[in-house]
Amino acid sequence: MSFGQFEGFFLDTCILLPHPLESMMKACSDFLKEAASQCIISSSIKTEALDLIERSHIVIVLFIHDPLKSYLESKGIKELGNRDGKIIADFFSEQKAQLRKHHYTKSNIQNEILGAIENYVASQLHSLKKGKKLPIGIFLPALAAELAVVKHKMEAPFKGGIRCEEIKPNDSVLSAVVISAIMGNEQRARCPSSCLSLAVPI
Amino acid sequence: MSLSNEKISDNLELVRRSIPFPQRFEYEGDTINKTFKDYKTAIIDTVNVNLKLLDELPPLKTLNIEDVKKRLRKIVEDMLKQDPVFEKSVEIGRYADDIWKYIESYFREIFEYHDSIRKHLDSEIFDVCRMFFNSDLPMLFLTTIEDAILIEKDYLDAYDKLIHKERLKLLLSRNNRKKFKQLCDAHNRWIKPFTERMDKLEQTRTRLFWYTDFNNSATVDEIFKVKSIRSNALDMEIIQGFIDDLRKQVKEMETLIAPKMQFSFFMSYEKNIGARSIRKIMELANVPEG
Repeated sequence: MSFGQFEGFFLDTCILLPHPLESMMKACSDFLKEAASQCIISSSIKTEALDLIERSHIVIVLFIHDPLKSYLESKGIKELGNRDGKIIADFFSEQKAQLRKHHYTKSNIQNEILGAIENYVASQLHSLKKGKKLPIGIFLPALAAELAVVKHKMEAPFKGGIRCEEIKPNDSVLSAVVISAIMGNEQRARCPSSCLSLAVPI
Repeated sequence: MSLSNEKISDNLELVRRSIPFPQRFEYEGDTINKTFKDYKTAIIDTVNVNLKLLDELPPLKTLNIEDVKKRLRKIVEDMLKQDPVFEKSVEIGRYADDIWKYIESYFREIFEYHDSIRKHLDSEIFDVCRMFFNSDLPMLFLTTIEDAILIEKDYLDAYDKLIHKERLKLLLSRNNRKKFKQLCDAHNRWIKPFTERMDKLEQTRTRLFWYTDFNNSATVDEIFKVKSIRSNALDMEIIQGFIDDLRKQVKEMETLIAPKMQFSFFMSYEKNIGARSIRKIMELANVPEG
């Protein structure tokens, strides 16, 4: 395939990020094993993906850092074990209730973001050895430390191994896209930053 | 003439004085015994090389072959025992053997050392998270130091992959001094920009951590202890300066390391709950509002 001066397979973010479906993951993995050297990512895709990974990671860590830590401290909880799931569930229920009260929207996005964070915290708690209790001063930083490594692994395919090209669109094409976007869409099509900021009710 | 000057005796000395490289000796025990055993084995091997040569001769007409063998064995043995050149060849053989062992040990040590460094870096990530969770520091403080630590791990991975290849080339070229030197020079050339930047990066990271920790310690006994970190004990402009420096150095390192990195693919997030959560939030951030 030829795209002007570039030749190869242009990859979208979803090809390089983990998938929920094993079969999809295998298909992408097989394709990349075979053709990674002929693949290209555009610099805009790379920037967007890295930015999204970074901001999603920050959302989780900040949430653990402030509301969760403060909640546990306010309840006088000093350590957590794998049977303390109810404490975490109560905290997230409270957070969801506050969200409904203060940030009423038609969408359920903030709720789902809270759900994703809850999943992470609860799963890590359940993965602790039976009977073993960890001080929250260890458990919470460990959650963040593990997430930092995961984030870095998710960023890796965008940072090395695949050729990245900066493609500057032709001015006339760019103008046409901007005009059609203004005329055809009065609402903002995407608002990632507002979604993410609301997820952390600090 | 140098040749005639060197020829002290009138005896014919046309025997093979060396055995081919590489020489492999398996020894146990102390160095003196080992060296002596090396020497004795080398004599036996060299005598055998000469006897084998005798076997390859057409049948002798006048002499009994067994008598010749016996005599030749004695002559070669005596000659070798008095010959400093032969002794030198045994010594060189030992070096050749040692180079192999040294290269093997060197690389084994390097890989083990890197594994320890990786564990150490993991522990540093946890320490900085712990510091952050006991503080009111900005998130950028945490992510910048984490990125600086993780790029060091990437560097170690890339370094290990490359020296795995170099190791094989060095072992195959251990008897070729010129080629061996070329390989070492090539290694030093590619490694130099990495080590220089990595040193700088590690220094900046350490300065940032120390500045934060020391300025939140009332006494010297408190340094490096887990404690509450307050940003009002710090000059945040200085902190920002360190963060900016470190971010710049991480970016430089990423650019430098990118061509050396092999494509690594994150497997299904079903197996990693952290990846699933990040991925989920990424998807939600892309959902149209309304």
